[in-house]
Amino acid sequence: MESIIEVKSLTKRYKEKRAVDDLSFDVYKGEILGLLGPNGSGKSTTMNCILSLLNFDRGNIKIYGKEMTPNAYDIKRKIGVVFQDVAVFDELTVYDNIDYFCGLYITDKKMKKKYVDDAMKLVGIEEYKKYFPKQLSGGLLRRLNIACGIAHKPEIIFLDEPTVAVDPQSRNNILEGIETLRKNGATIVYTTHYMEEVEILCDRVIILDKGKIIASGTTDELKELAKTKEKIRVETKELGNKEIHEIKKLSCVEEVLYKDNILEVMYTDENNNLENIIGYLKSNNIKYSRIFSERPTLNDVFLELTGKELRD
Amino acid sequence: MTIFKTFFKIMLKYKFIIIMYTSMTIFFAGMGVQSNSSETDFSETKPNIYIVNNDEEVGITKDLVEYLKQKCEIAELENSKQAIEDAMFYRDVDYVIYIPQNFRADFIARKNPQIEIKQTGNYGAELAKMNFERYLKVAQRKVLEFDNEDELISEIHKVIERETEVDLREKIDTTKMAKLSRYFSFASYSILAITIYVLATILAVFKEEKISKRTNISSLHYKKFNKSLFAASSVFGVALWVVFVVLAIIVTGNGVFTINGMAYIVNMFVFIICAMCMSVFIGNIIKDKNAANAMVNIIALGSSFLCGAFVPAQYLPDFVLKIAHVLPSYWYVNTNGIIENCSNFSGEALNTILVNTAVLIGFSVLFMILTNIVSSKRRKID
Ligand SMILES: Nc1ncnc2c1ncn2[C@@H]1O[C@H](COP(=O)(O)OP(=O)(O)OP(=O)(O)O)[C@@H](O)[C@H]1O
Ligand SMILES: [Mg+2]
Repeated sequence: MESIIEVKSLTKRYKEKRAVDDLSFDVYKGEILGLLGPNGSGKSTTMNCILSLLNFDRGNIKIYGKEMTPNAYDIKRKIGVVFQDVAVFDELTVYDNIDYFCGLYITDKKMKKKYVDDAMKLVGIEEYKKYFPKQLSGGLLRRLNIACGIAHKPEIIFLDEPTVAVDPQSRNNILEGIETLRKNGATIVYTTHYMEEVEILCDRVIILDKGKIIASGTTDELKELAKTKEKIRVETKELGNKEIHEIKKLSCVEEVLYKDNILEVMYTDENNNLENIIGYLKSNNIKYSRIFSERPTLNDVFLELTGKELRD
Repeated sequence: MTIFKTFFKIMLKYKFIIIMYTSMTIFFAGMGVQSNSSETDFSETKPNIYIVNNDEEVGITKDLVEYLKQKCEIAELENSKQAIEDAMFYRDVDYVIYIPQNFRADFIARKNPQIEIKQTGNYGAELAKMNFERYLKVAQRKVLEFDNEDELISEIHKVIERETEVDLREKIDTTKMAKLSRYFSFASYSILAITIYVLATILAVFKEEKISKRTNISSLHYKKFNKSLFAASSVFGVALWVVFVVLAIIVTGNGVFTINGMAYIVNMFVFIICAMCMSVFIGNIIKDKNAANAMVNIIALGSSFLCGAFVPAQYLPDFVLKIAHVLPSYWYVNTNGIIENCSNFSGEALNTILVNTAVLIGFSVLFMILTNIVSSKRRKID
């Protein structure tokens, strides 16, 4: 795989605090790379360092094999960025906003017009082209923010939490838009703290915590890291200490929790667990209302690796 | 081009502010023009003088005496040292002219005879002196050209009459100049307000951190970006200047088409440059575009009050004027005052105007340097 962005030993300090601590990773052509991490884990800082918007203390960034600097205008031409905060002109309409940011890259008028139209279509805000940002809902504003960042059809796109505080409709729209961008050949770095999005969207994930990479790989690879391979939840009122003790002894059971009439059983293997537990409940005449089986989530992986939840 | 276009798109969002401040100038300056059009005319009053003529009253001596009788009131006095001194002490006489013996003969012989003068130094004396010296100067010039005494006398009168006509015209012009001066001084408020409001706001919008991050990451060279902003600001400045010149013509009439009128216009141009440099600086230091509004009130309103754009400077207390020296408006308004009272641009008037202009340019340079310091600090990210 062709590596387009190479980050080596990137370290960024704010006073004594290390916001980014010795990060190294590559981004490959055509992939969507997820940077997943809780608030303050250094996702935005990493992105801003890669883009030369921040000076960093140590490390080395190469894009297309060339060192990235504030004056690397030929590299910048190929990059599109959607920042975490909505950054648009209140004084300009939706159309004029996209036109302005696209115009920073594209000078040919016809081409620019087409690009602006494409961008509006991609995020689905054509109807609102004459609106001013103040007249848009939060979700539409986010979509405008994205359109402004990608209208010039960049080859590499950075998206910093584009779906934060967005209604489900806009979120789906945004995620579909990102899929489309990838299909059109873009390489995407996607920053988020929503693991569901990462699971739907990303080919590869880097999990950050306190500025450090704590794990990386495809979602399946990451899930392999979890000791728990399956989690079964049973709604039942009839368990005592004796039964819980017996369940713990069933095969592959790693841990058993029983609280508020919900039994949670963690397994280290993923085969036949449901059969086993149902068999046990039946043979002991224990009544239950519902049973769920869950595969581990990235949240579980994060929990196991750091001892805390991804989202607070 | 994108930036240039966007600059004016944003400006259009503030068109009502621009229109509002512009109408204020038209309104207040226009009102001022009405209320100021009847000025007391001092030059019609005749000064009281006395002539001690030791020469014979013939020829050029006689003509001089008659000229003075026309222009001044000749006091009826006893020709004695004591009587003359008393009359001057009680201000019955402001100016006494001693024509020496053989004045006529010496004058014709181009010996340039000295005429002794005594004067009180008040307004009447100034007026008498002006009349007397006008005659003498013309006579001294013309005696070099004419040998014949009659011809000389008639030539002197021709020249003096012509100059008096110019004088009269100038007297009419002074009321016109007052209108213009009022208009241009008041315009300083509107210009400052509009420039700060528009330029500082637009710059603050472009330089707002979120937006400038996007600009910084784009493939547009930052020098090109700055150049575009500069070009757009210049077009804005020139347009503002043209609008206020056209308004000057509409509000005050054809007084603009005189040397003085041109001087006002040039002065305004320099002032606009200075106001722009100041606004660019403000645009670079304010964190939030809404702060521009507050700046307009503090700076435009403040300096217009302090510098005599609303109230003529002579009515302001000294300490206020001292403070006002640190504000560009002071130098602009001061120049307007000089232009108002200036018939020929030479000597001290011209000097002061040049100094004032230099100070305005100095302010502009200072603001440019400060802007550079501030914005280069801003570009460095940590
Ligand atoms: N300008 C700054 N000065 C000091 N500390 C900062 C600054 N910017 C960020 N930090 C710190 O650096 C760390 C990483 O911040 P960063 O914004 O990169 O996190 P993030 O992963 O993007 O979080 P979020 O999900 O909230 O956007 C945080 O602890 C933050 O407090
Ligand atoms: Mg962030």
